[in-house]
Amino acid sequence: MALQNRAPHPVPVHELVRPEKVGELEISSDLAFQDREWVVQRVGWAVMVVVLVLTTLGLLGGWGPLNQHVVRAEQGLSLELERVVRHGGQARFEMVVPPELAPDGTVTVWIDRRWLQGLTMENTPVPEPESTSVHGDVVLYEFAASDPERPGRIEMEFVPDDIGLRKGRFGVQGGPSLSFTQLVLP
Amino acid sequence: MDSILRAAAVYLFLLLLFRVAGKRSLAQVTTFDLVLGLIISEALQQAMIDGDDSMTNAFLVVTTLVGLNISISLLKQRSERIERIVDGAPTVVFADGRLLPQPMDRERVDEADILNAGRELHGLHSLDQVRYAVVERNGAVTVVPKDEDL
Repeated sequence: MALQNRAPHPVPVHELVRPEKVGELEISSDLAFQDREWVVQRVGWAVMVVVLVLTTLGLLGGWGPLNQHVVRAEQGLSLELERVVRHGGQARFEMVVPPELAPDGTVTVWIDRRWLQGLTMENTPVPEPESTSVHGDVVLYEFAASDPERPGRIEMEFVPDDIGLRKGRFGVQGGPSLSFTQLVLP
Repeated sequence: MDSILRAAAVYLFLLLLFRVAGKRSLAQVTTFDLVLGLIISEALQQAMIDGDDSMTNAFLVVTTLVGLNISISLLKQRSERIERIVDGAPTVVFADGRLLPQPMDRERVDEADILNAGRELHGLHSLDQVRYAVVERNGAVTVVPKDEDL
């Protein structure tokens, strides 16, 4: 009895389900959507190719011909670093100090402290500094010049902690300085 | 907070990547696909945990991934549009006794795949016995045989 008294369902079931038909096949296929999907997929594939090309060139960090960068200052002072590095990945930079900047056998270089705060040093610089001190906004490293004839190379390995475009400054105390920019990818 | 963001970023990246790669990308789990899946998980693991090997981090990451999966399934339930965006729509690749070349090309399906599905699902031996063939949302090919073969 209860069944007979029940009101009919207000909306026919087929309208609730809204099946579309291909021939007699009930299927919620959507050709217009599939056309768009196909285009989006092909664009996605193109983006993947672009990403791989950029990676090969080194523009997404890591090794690559366009990633190595040399910033030069006066008197032959220069800094070799990567344009793009990755958060948590390994990075290095190399300072080249000409012998003229170390007349008494030692040279003191300084690095912008704010820049150093955005990274973790992997190990002590090579060669090991004679002393390290903080002076205002900069960290000073004093090195003994190993060869009075040839430029000294100071290498630092670090892991970037911050993300984004990072600017830093580096120089020789009482001598030339330079500024550099590095992009840190997430 | 960063555990959640990392897991969410990885989830959305994979969702996007596999949508762009197409339905058929990992539909048939061949030996190599299985290995590929393992390598992908290995490669993403570090990005998700970021050196934090604590149980708390692992639980947070897993909770975020499962939570996102539930959220997206709820959204799909409510909106057909979202369902199509996330899962795609089934594609008919064989109808009225003929192959449909354009959808087949797009879904990277050939005659052999349809015959394979026909054999596997219904014991069919020729395309003549097939009424419809569809690439489903999950990338599997399904076949509807002609009535006399049922």
